[in-house]
Amino acid sequence: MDISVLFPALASLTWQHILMILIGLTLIYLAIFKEYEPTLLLPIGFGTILVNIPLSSAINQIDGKTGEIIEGILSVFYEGGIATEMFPLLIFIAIGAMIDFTPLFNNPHLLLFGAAAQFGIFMTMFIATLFGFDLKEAASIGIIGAADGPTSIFVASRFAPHLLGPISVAAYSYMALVPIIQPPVIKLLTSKKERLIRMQYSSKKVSRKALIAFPIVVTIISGLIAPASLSLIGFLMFGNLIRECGVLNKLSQSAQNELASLVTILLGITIASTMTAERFVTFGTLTIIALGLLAFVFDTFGGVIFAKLLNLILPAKKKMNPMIGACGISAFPMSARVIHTMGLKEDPHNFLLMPAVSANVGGQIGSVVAGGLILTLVNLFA
Amino acid sequence: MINNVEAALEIGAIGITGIFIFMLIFYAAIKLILKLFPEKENKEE
Repeated sequence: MDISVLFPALASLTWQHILMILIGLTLIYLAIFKEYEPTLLLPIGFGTILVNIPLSSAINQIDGKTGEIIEGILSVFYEGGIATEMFPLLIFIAIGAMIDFTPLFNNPHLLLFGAAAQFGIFMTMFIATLFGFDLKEAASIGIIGAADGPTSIFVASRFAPHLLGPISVAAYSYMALVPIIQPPVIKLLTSKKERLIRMQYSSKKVSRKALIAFPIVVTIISGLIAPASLSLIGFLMFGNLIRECGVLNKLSQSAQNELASLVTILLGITIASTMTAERFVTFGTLTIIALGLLAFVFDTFGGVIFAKLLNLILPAKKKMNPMIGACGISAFPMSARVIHTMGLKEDPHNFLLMPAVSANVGGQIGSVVAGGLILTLVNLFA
Repeated sequence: MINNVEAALEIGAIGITGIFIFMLIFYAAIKLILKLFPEKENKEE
């Protein structure tokens, strides 16, 4: 009997499928043994194997005899959770419930680094258009520079769902690689003297009413200026309000734990449904992976250079350590830890952790604002 | 393609300016909120 009849999956296996299975195994390896964003990379890795076995029932298949579509569960999850933007938005509630804005209240001026370090998004978007990507694709690639997985997924699922796989993998992989990406860029841009700058930091208690008012005020302001950003910012701030209100501790804990875990599992394995060989094994994927790295480099560049520019006008006692600028990305608390460690290496008595955390929290807001602005602006230009 | 490149440049310029404006507004909002709802110091027992 013909092998294709007995083992149709085996007979349909191509080198592209094998390559994708190897990519899936690599992601699982990185997640388990290197602990690179395991919560996302492991489900994506396993899902990649799942969808790249030919004729997999996990994704939609076309019946060869009738021509009808046989639905696969991951395709159903995709239509219900990603195409509708539900999964990334639910994750935003969980993230909002995890964020403590107190460090930002103590040093609100450090919010500005959350703006400067979004430079990589726009620079990468520009470069992506030079590579021939259209505006929506370029915006989806640029948003990798938000260093914020859910924002990347949200924007990509709206503008370029066909690129969702490589964009998600790039976003989460580079977030895990922040300790490797940022230090050389920072060292290249700063002098030893600059890295030794000590920073003043105020640490006061913030009232409960202030912490409750903040998410409400931010939501109203953002909505009035850029309504397209409301679902992103609104869900983040809703999660934060649950945390800070003080009367929904059970919900806050559920959002931070059960909701985050459940949606992360579904999000990861559903993203994998887009990582089929036909979509992923292309030259475009390699370009996206390279551009994603560039986005993180330009983010760091933007934050550090902005701090250096500020130092030109600040009095000697108030000078900023330019390394803090690099914390304006959303990778929290990874980036703050990296800068704190770098500071200690230069001077064991220079503790940069608290200002670094403030800038890093600013980056969490900045990345979501950037996502909202991209959604608004690209729709105007495209 | 040239249109896309030009549009990306324009979006970049407006976008990064926009984020700074947002952050400055949030900065002002934080200052205002702190004034409206200051932390009252605990009374000594």
